[in-house]
Amino acid sequence: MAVIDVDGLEKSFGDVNALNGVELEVKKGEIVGVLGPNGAGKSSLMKALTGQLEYDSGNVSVLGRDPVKEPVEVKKRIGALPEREDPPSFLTGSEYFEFVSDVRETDIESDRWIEKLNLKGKLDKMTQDLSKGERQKLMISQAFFHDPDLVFVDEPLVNLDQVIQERVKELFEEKREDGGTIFLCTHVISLA
Amino acid sequence: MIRKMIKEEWRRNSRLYRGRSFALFPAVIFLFSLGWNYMVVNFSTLSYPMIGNSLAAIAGLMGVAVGLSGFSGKDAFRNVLGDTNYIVFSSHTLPVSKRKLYLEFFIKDTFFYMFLVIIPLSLGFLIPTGFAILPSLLDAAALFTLGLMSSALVALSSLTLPSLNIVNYGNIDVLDPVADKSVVDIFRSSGGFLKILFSLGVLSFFYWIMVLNFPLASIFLENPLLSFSILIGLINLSIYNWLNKFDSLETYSYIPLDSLSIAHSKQIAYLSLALPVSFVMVLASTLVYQGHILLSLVTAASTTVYGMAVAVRVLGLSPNESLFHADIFLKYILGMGAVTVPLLYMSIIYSERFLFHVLAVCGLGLMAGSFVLLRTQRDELS
Repeated sequence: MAVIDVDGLEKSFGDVNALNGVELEVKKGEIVGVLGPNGAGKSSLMKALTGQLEYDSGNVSVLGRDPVKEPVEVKKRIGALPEREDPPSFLTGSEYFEFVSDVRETDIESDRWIEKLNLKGKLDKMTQDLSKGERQKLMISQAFFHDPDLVFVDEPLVNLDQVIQERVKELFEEKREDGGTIFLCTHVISLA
Repeated sequence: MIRKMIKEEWRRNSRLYRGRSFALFPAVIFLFSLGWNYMVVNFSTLSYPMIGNSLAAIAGLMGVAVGLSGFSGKDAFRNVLGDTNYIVFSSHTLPVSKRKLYLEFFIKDTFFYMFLVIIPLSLGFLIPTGFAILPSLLDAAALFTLGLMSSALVALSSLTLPSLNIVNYGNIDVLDPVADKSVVDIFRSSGGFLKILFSLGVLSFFYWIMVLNFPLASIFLENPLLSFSILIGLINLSIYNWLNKFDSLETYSYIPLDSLSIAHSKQIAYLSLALPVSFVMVLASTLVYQGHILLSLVTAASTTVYGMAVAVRVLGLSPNESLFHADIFLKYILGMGAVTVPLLYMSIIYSERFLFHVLAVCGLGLMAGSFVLLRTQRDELS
């Protein structure tokens, strides 16, 4: 069963043709990596699939829904780790988790993520006072904690140390083993 | 460095406001000023010295408003402008002192607002009066500088105060997540909630000084508390600005929220702050002038709600950037003027027999506000 189905997807920004007739099918339980150099259109593709960007033409289905027509419904069912998007800076880490769980109307097992991504002692600080890597850990947590069937991750390992990078890869593998799907955009060949 | 900063500011704004539209902003100010002063010179009994005084007063008010931008402080730079792309942040990587850069940034802003507002405004005063009020330009320049320096001093010194952590996320049950977060942002950013009180307090202080001490203002304002309550709706735009200063639609793009629900949250946050603050401002003003307290509270509530509707509908979720867009500025002024101008006029001629009329316009303002909000809920915000 295809969880992502893309046919003839096109998107231009002025003269720049970012997405040119993209064809794609991703099945449940797969980890799919999109590899390409900077400026290749990976983030545009991810934004188009997650309802963050309106495309010019083509057909897109994510979990059976059109992300342009039903962006909120799609975002409810997926997890998304955007590139370079920080958590709101004046909330503490725990308040940020509470904020996202309020929006998603779900509970979060904070302890699980503190343990898994080594966030002990970090959640009481305002996120603007955390390091880039710690902020990335919060963002990874929010993409997974509501246990979505499909998770989009854009450059997930950026700013993370080697140990945490391995744990994040394990997280992807666990999600796949549970029947979930990971859609990954990166320019890191070894990760793809 | 200042020249480069001005060039940078110009390019940033031209890009944000689609080039010509931004360049047209001073032209719009000039035409407004010219039209108004043409009417005043030809159809009123005001003398040239009085017109010159009003130019000086407006310049002083502008100085206060520009100086208050000092409240933007490091948080706004960090959150809105980003802390890597702008010249003002080159002290991170280049051997230039932070103090020098911030001073030059401040000077650049002063020049920028002089060009955007003060010069076109002054020309609009000078031409219809045949340059007879030329000497008033000196007063205007002095008051602009004085207003700017004093409010900037207050704003910058308040940034050294600790931000108040008395409001935590999840403490206020009536607020939805984004409204709650927006209120927390204001309380925890530099200057905390004091920056709102300072912004409104300084502008209110300036209003009362002008009304109580300058003959021109007192001619126009026969019922100053009532007139003040009407202006509250205009002044409260600064609260809406602050509520939108630390985030954008992009901030929430990866979670299940759409632009309309975010706009709705901002309205709730605005009302939860602006209504109590407006009432406090009106009640505090009774210390210097009494009269029509209840009516003034009703009027303040009406203009605050109406002001929110116009701000949401016309300025969207980027009020700080949108206001210098010539088309948007015109729409905003006309939108606000539709209710505040009749109310201001009635406050000038007010007597007990006009009570019903004022209440009727307040009601119309509330209804118009509600109508605009209902339309906003149906349409997509940009």
